Amino acid sequence: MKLVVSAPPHIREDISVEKIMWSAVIALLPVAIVAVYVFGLPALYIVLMSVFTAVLTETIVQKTSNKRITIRDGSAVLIGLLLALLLPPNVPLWIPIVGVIIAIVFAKHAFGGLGHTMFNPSLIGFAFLMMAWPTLMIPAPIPRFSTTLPYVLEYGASRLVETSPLAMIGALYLLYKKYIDWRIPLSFIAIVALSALLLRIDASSIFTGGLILGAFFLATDHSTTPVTKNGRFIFGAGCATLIIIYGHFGNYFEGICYSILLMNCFTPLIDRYTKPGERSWLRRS
Amino acid sequence: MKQITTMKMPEKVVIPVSEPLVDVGEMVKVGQKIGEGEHSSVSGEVVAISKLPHPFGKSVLSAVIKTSGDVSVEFQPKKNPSPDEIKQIIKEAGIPAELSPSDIVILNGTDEKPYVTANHALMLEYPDEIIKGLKILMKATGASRGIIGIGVSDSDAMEIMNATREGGIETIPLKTTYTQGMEDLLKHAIIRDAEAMVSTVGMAKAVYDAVFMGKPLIETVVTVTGARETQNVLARIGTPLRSIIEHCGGYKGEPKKIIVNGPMTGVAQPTDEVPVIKGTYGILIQYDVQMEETQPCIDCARCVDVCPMNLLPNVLATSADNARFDICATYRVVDCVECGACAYACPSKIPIVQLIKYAKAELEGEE
Repeated sequence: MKLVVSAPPHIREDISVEKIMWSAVIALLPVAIVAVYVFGLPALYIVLMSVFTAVLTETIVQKTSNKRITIRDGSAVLIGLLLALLLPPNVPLWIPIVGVIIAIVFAKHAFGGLGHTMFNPSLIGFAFLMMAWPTLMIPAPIPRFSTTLPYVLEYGASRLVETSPLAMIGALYLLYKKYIDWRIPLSFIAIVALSALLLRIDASSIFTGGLILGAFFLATDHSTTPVTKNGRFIFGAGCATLIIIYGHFGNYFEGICYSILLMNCFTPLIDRYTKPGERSWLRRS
Repeated sequence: MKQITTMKMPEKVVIPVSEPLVDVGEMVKVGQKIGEGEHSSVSGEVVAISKLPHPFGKSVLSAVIKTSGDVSVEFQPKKNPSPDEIKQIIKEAGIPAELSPSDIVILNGTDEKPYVTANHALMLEYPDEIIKGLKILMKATGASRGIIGIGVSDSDAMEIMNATREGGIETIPLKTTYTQGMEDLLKHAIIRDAEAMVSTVGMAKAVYDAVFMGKPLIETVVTVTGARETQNVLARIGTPLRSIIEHCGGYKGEPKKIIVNGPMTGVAQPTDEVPVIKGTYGILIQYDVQMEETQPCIDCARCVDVCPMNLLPNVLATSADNARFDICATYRVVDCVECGACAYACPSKIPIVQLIKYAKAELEGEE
């Protein structure tokens, strides 16, 4: 009888990084499918090209730097898919390629890869494209059909993710499985809703697919957001406040992307100031 | 159905004794004192006194007693003992309990479900003894309140204890989490501002035996999970794990891991020859053990969400890994109760508890 002697705990939860990443990918697939339904093949090409480029770029980066290839963990696929969803359907196909390369090479691996990113890679890719080719990133004027089913199928959508906020219902599964935290989306959505109510902002202009994607998928990216419980409330609230300010003077969709990126900068600071304090009841004796 | 099965006399017992009062070749009786606070749990011949494997790792000086017959010393209960006498009896009986003046005595009746059910079984089987033991503990510490914490899922135990309890004793339902049993957390969960003494229902039973029966602590209830039959066994202190597992029908296959006490904080054993000691409450046998590869931390903060001490295990583990023990100290690494909840929840399979222990050891060395 040969017994294994290892340290406790001797049971582990059935959870892995792969599970977290691939579940997010699966939760986003419905909205990608709706986008292809609404926009046709161009949307399909954008999604496929983004994901393919992400996987290829990560393989090349890890091969050339003699690291273990980790494309199977789903993180690269998720970065590619998220960026694709932020794009309008009329961009040339090289746009997602460039954006994804920036995201994977500079925002992810230059910072040390999975777990070490400072800024959400997909949003860095998006911001880069917005600055480099602003004219190409403008959604083509699409004749706005009257939507019969708002939030389910938005024919007037100008970006892939905006075609159906409801298709991202899979986020609830991620919350239920605790793959993403509930605190960030809660304060995020609550503050946006409250501001919209007080400032009389038209709900249809603010409660878009972009906001749902931001609250549940972009602002909950693990390594770029605070780890303390209170910090996560603050992070969500900060994103929401910035969105309202950006949106008031500019564009709500870009506001969502830039506010999350800006809040990423504050993550270390938030973590430091929400550091858990001393427990008085423990040290009594 | 009987909750607790009694083992037949084991062939031999191995009892850790720091300063033996007996010699090799000597005959001992059940309950005979063989060391300071140590008693023989069987009758027979002392065949060896040497360093032998102990369930907590290192080898310790232990007496091996080969069983023959069942002769017991005469147990002499004491009537109406004073608080000081109770303290003396508890010490003499070898019950590992710290009796300090308290306002409240808390008994832990929760278990690491579903792997351990020993406390649950004790409450169903010995409610009177537990209540009387608690009364004695209250008298000895001067406490006016006694509280028994019972897992919310154990409604049958709750009913029995409520039917048996007397004035001054309360029962409270506790959400059974793996960490609930930890002393400080239990205190915190029940009461914050009072001097409280925490013990277990098993210890209360032992106190009852010592005071009302005059019997030292020589047996304990152990939950065996993973043998052919899952059972709560009343085992004599010093019984080798192998004998208890045989009592439960033996192994189901080729065992890969034998763990003493619960799955979250228990210790994996190199051999099944180690004995049951005071404080052993579970034996867990695993047949399928997979070594999982560690991946980098993704700061998902699942560990933060489950930490009962409100720490940041991810920061502690990463800092310990980078030998930045100063950061570990700032983030209160000393407060960690090593419950293992973080490592359980970690998707990257990082050995967080070991890293934290490492940081604690390094910090202690510096002082």
